[in-house]
Amino acid sequence: MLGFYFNQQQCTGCKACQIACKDKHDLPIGVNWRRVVEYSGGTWMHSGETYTTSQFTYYTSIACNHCEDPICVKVCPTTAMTRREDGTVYVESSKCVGCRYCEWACPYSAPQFNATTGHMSKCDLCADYRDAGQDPACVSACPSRALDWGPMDELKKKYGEGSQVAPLPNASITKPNLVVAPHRDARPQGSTDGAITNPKEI
Amino acid sequence: MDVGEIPMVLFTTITQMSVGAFLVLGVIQTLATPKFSAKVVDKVADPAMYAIGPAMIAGLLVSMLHMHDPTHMFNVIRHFGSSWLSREIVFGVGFAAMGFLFALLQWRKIGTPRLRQVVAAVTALLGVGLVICMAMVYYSLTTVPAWNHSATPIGFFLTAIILGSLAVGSAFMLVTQWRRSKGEEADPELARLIGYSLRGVALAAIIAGAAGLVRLPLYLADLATKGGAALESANLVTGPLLTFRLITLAIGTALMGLFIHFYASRANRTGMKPLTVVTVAAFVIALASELAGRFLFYEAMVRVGI
Repeated sequence: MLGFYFNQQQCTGCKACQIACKDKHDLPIGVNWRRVVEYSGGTWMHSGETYTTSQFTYYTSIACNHCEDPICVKVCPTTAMTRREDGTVYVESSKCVGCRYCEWACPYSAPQFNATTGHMSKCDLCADYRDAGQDPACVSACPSRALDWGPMDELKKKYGEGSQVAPLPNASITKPNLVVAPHRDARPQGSTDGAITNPKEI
Repeated sequence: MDVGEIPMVLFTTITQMSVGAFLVLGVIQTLATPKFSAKVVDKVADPAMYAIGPAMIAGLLVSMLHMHDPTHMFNVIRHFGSSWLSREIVFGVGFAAMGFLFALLQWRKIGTPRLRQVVAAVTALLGVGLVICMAMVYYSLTTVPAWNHSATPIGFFLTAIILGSLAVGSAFMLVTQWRRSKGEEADPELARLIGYSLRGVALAAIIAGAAGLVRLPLYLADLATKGGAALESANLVTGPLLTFRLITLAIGTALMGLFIHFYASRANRTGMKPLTVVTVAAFVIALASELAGRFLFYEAMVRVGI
């Protein structure tokens, strides 16, 4: 099964991946298959003449994780949301009614509504690029090589099992095919230490 | 405020009211048949039943506003084996179709009363199935804690009972009032059946309304203690609209239910008009409350994750 690898420690939050994806798939305004989430927290402490900070910020680049147990596929009434043999989840546009139920269900905001077609749209791990022997657009665009893709067993052999970090949802819900190498300040999944500071961008 | 969910607010509330009304009529018909003549029972129940048809069709039509490509409409039943949304649509259409068939048989007096009873029972079961599927559409979303909660099915069934019984009560009163105004003789047997029915309907509304008033604070307290997305939902719901919803629920069901009960037991002395006004007012206030409540239900949509 194919999946993504993402290294929080290497990501600078430049959003080149997001723009490369948007450009490659010619996505309209408001539709961003890959988004970069900024998670921040901490405070300033005043002691005598000194201020010290405990602030932290780190980025998480997220597209579709082509989950093992995709809730979007389960809830779709039309069977338009399906899984290819390689594990990638995609929308069959000829079946979709645009009811947006999958949008309600997915905890990664992967399926997104395209108002021009009236159908749902989502990351298909750049199926055409992969067929042509290329990497997905987001992976090749990353200047700090924070992204990778491939069969999950290979990714895990190369990068380890990864971690469950905030602000991602509990992996047991959909079993995402995603390996995340945590940032040095990363908070565990479910932590309320920080908050998403760019909610309008995701 | 997210006005985009208004079609869903109308669709779920109207269809639950339709199912509730059909069930209430079924209960009245079953309980009244041994004690009253079939003619009187039909005369009371039939006009109310015919009103369900247009309501149900209107509900199904607004639900289609939620689809952005109606040309692919027939695909929505393909995933019956997995998607509660597919099941909801199948049961919704099934309930409407069987209800229509029953209304036709009843209107033209086609088939034996036994056959019509079987058709009505199947329709009622499809209606209960529809409310269950409707609740599961939201309950099954494990990623939305405010919906993945026992409050969802409980709330949907309470809507069906409250609005179903008050709609039936209002229909009875309006039809009787209309018949009187056309100069029809007052039939004591008919008046007695309507009196009984209204007291039953009032009792159902009082019990369901009280349950609703207990349910809401417990539900919000539970969301608040869960934290995370559930707490965010509780914050979104709390506000003036919630106050309006609670106050109208109290007035519409409990207080008005008591009024109806009080009046219905002395209907012969007080006359029809105040009774009609109170019943219809109770229905309208309860409808406003349920619509506000359903609007808040969609406002509470906060998903875990990003």
